[in-house]
Formats: sequence, structure tokens, C-alpha cells
Amino acid sequence: MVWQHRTTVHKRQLAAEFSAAARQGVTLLMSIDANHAKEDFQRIIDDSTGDFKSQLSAMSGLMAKQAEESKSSSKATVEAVAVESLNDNSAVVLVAAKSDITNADNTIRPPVVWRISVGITRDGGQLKMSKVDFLQ
Amino acid sequence: MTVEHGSSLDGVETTPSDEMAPPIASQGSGSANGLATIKRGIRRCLASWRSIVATVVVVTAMGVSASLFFILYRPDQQVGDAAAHRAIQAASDGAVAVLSYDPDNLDRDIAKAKSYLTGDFLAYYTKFSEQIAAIALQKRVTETAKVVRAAVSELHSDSAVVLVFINQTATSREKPEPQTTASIAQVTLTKVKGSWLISKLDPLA
Repeated sequence: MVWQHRTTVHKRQLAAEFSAAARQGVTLLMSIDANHAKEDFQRIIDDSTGDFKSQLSAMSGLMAKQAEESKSSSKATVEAVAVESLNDNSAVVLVAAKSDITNADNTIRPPVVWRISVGITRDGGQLKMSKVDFLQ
Repeated sequence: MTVEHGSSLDGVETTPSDEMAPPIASQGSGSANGLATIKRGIRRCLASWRSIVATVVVVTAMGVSASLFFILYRPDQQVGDAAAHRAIQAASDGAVAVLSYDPDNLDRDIAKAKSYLTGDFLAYYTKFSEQIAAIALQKRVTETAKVVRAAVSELHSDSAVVLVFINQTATSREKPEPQTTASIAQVTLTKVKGSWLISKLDPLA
């Protein structure tokens, strides 16, 4: 019973840790400011690992350029997170996130809420995004 | 433990009767008799102490396991994997029931949805369902909801919050082609008589 209790407490701590990481990851991922898109993408790359990181690294130059040219910025707000599955070193977290996009002419597009499944993996001492799926 | 307890008691009772037999012989020395009484007392004390200690050990062990059960195990079970699974199931089934109806079976569909609800949300739905029913009948609207993904956001022994990603497909007389919309529900559950019921359903998209 004591052992089981320790497992339960441990799982709760892990869930809180992975939830926080997913929250932070998605907020970074969906908040791109046209004025410093390059830095924003670098922050996302730093917060990623594995295949996702390599894909992002390969595409970030182009994406940053597009963001700068479009002069529109997005800001994300995480509405809800829920841990779907987890173990000590990885987890799948469902995230509902709202993105507010401001156009070049300062008009604001109606907010869109996204359904996202984020894979979080422990990389060294840090929890980073290893997979991101926007669910349709 | 009980057997040992009984036998040691027997031991206490038989010892004095054994020593009662020869007192006439040793009646001469009063000090010897006194010593025997003290010895007997000590022996009796030792014998009963043994059983007292045994009883205390048993009771303490039972007490500790009972407290572990009620303080650790039960609450843990209430927030463990099985409990999480039940919460996800209740939230998914309930959300699907609330968001699905067909104009030919409105009474059945609404009654089914109500069976998943409790508290303020049950009151709200009961009021709102009449309007839904009227529109569904008038425009021949059929709504079918399907859960895409669902997971637990919060889990306590008597309340939980589940995040549910839902695809809703609608058809109507005006738009017979099925139209699917992606939606998100944040479902708050309350434990009523041991089972999870929906007490709040917040659409996030």
C-alpha cells in the first residue's frame, strides 16, 4: 500500500511536470511576433527534441521569413491541458489553445481554438516537445 | 494468536493448583510460602504480559493496516488509473449523449443525455433541451457527436475535469450534406453515489 501510494504521488508529480512543459511548449510554438520571428523560432527549437526538432530546424528559416514578410503576429493562450498517457521520460498531453492573430494593418482576426496533441520527452534534464499534432 | 493467548491463561490457572497440592508439607516455613506467592505473581504477570503484548501487537498491526487502507490506499484508488479511466468514460459518453440527437427519437435522446447529468447543468440542459427539440423537429436537424481524444485534466476523489476533443456532424433538411465541426469540451464531473456525473460542460471551441 505504501509503495502504491508512492507511485500515485510520483505519477501526480510527473503529470504536473509534463502539463507545465506542454503548456509552455505550445505557448512558444504559437506565439510568433513578426518583429522578432527568428528569435521566436530559435526559442521553439531550443524547447524541442528529436525528429520534431530536426524538422523545425530545417524549416524555421523559411517560416521566420514568411512571418516577417506577412507582418502579422500571433499570440497563444492555453485554455486547457490534460495528460493522456505518461511514463517517467515521456508523455502525450492534449492541449486546447487559442490563437489571437494581429494582421499587418493592426486588425485582429477572430480567435481560433486549436486541438493539439503534444508529445513531451525528457532530453537531458529538460522536458521538450518531441511531436506536435494539430487535430482536425 | 488467540490459541496462544488461551493456552497461556490455562498455564496460569494450572500452575497454582499444582502448587496448592504440597502446601501441607512446606507449611513450616512461612517465608518460603511468601516467596512462592511472589514467584507465582511474577509468573502470572509474565504470562499475562505476554498475552497483553501479543494483543497489543495484533491490534496495532490491524490499526496500522486499517489506517494505511483508509488514509493511503482508498484515496489513491479514487484517483488511480482505473478511476481516471471511469472519469474519461463518463465524460465522453455524457458529452456524446448531450451533443447527439435525431428528430425521430428526441424524447429518448434527451432522457439518455439527462441520465449523465447532475446539479446546475442538469437544470440548464432540462430547460435548454426543449428549445433544441423544437428546432430539431422543425428543421429536421440530426446531430452526431464523436469523441476524437479525451484525457484527465484534474482528478480528485469526488470531482474531476476531463478535456474532450469532439467532432460534431450535423445534417438538416436545408443542409442534407453532413457538416462536421471540430469542438472542445471541458467537462467537470461530480461523484454522485459512487458514479461520475457531468456537473458542468464548457465548450472551448
